Amino acid sequence: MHQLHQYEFAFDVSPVPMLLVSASGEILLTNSLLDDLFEYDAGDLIDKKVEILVPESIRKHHPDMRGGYFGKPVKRNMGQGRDLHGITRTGKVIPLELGLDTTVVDGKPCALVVALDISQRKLHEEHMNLAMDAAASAMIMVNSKGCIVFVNKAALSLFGYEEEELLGSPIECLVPDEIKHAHPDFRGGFMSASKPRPMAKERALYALHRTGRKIPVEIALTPVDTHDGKMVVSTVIDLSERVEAESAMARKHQEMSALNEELMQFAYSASHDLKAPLSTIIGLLELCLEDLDEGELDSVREVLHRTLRIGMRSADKVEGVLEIARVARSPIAAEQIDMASMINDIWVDLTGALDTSASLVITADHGQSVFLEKNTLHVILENLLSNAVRYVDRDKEKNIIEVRSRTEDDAIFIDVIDNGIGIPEESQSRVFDLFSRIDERSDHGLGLTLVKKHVDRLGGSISVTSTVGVQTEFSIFLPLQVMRKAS
Amino acid sequence: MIPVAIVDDGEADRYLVKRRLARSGKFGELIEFVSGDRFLEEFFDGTPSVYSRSEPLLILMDINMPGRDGFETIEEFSARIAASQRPDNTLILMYTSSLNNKDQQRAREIHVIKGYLEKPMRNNSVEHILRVYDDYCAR
Repeated sequence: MHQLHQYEFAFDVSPVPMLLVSASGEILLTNSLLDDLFEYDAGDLIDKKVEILVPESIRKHHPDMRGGYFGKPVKRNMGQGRDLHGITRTGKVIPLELGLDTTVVDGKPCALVVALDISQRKLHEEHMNLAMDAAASAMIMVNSKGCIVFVNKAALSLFGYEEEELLGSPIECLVPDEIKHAHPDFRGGFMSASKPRPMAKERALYALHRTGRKIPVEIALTPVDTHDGKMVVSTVIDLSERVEAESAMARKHQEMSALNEELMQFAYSASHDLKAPLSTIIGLLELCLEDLDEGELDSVREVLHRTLRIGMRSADKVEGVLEIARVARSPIAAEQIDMASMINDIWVDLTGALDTSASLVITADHGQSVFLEKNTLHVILENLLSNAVRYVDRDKEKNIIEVRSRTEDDAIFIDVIDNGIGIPEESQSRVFDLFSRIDERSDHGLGLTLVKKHVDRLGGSISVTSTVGVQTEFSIFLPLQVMRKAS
Repeated sequence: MIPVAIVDDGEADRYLVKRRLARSGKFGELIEFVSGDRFLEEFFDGTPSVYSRSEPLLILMDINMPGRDGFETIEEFSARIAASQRPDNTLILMYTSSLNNKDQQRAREIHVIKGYLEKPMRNNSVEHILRVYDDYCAR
């Protein structure tokens, strides 16, 4: 049995704010710290209902809650799991942590309340959260049971969730399926070792986006002790861009290697093919000198003429190689092309020079206007048609060369078909190779190489099918360029 | 007089060979082929007298040619000779401007190829051909 005055001394020396409340809610005793906290003068709160200290929103329900507590009085914290607040005389709402205990004073049951001002702690937490939200890396805090207790903004946007979806969820919802089952064990292992370290140092690590997409990540784990127990903060760095950059780099490297290989091949072929005519010229000139010494002037003249022809042909060939080398350079402007008239023009130029018996059939079916690099298309068609003319089959009664051109889905499909001598199967795979010549009718072996370079550059493709003695068909596909309206 | 077949797509190279061989006075009839394929056609389907001489036929074979290259032509040639059961009365020399070591290596590995001549043909090339030819006949 205690009497009220017995508490007075204890209250005065208490380092924390305290009050004593009767079962009917009257404040029986406060200490000065509590008075200060709630901005009252000493004694002002005595005999007031305790609800004077309870915020408006709760005030109405508070007597019932108070009654409930006195029905089953145990020592406990008030409002467990919720944020509690009090209200001061001037109406300021302050966050509190409240401890409750019962006692009997002057024969009546009373509640002994310890009120801790947690404004500082709350402020601190808020600052922490702001700081963490401001961090560029995703941060997730997990408690010892593996439940998410905090996620920052960067984490929410990285994983595609809303905050309330993740809070309280097991961290495994962000772990890819193949690791999901083993993950709680990993987690337990870390909790007991509890030294900061990177996760899965030696292998590629992935996190799971809400959509099921796997995100390449790097994760650092840091154990922290909080007033709610041991936790782990994971700092997650999104490696998507880095991984993408690395694979882009690898692709570039591969391209460069291929180009280098191609260049070596080219250097070899070119040096061989340019050396061959020089050897011949040397041989002819040696012969020429001997003829000269012997006074065989007619012979000298003939050999010189041959030398001259080879020299001119070689110069021509170098031009051709140069033209191929130039293809990789910047594209030229696209313009609208009338296919039928372009093909006709090429035909007239070709047959004027070659005097052929072949006849041309053009089928042009264009629902869409053909918008392409005009000169490039001209070069392509000129080469294909001149090949068709050169390889006509003289044993056939009629030599027919057909060009079929049609547009479909922003692309143009061109087939050049001839009923000429055809290309032997074993040669078909190398018709596009540099300096590849099929027979003595072939020129320098550059034409189709040039055509393929152009087609590749325009993002298209070219293929050949041929049956010896029957026909040859070159098929080209080229994406059309989008028509730009003249402004 | 040595009968000669020159297989080379270069007209000037064939001319050079003709002139060089003519100067030596030791070579007889010379037939020209513009490709390996033409050579095979003529040799096995044609009937020029040159193939039935008692003297071995000297064949000068270019390597880089349209269609079958020199090596492919020789492989096909050997296969057809074996299949036809004709006596092989030929002496084959490669005649090329190829810079490729692999080509020389390959020439050494094919036993019917008896030599490797670099273009252009010179007077000492002709002397070399005659030596190889005499060795072949004396064998």
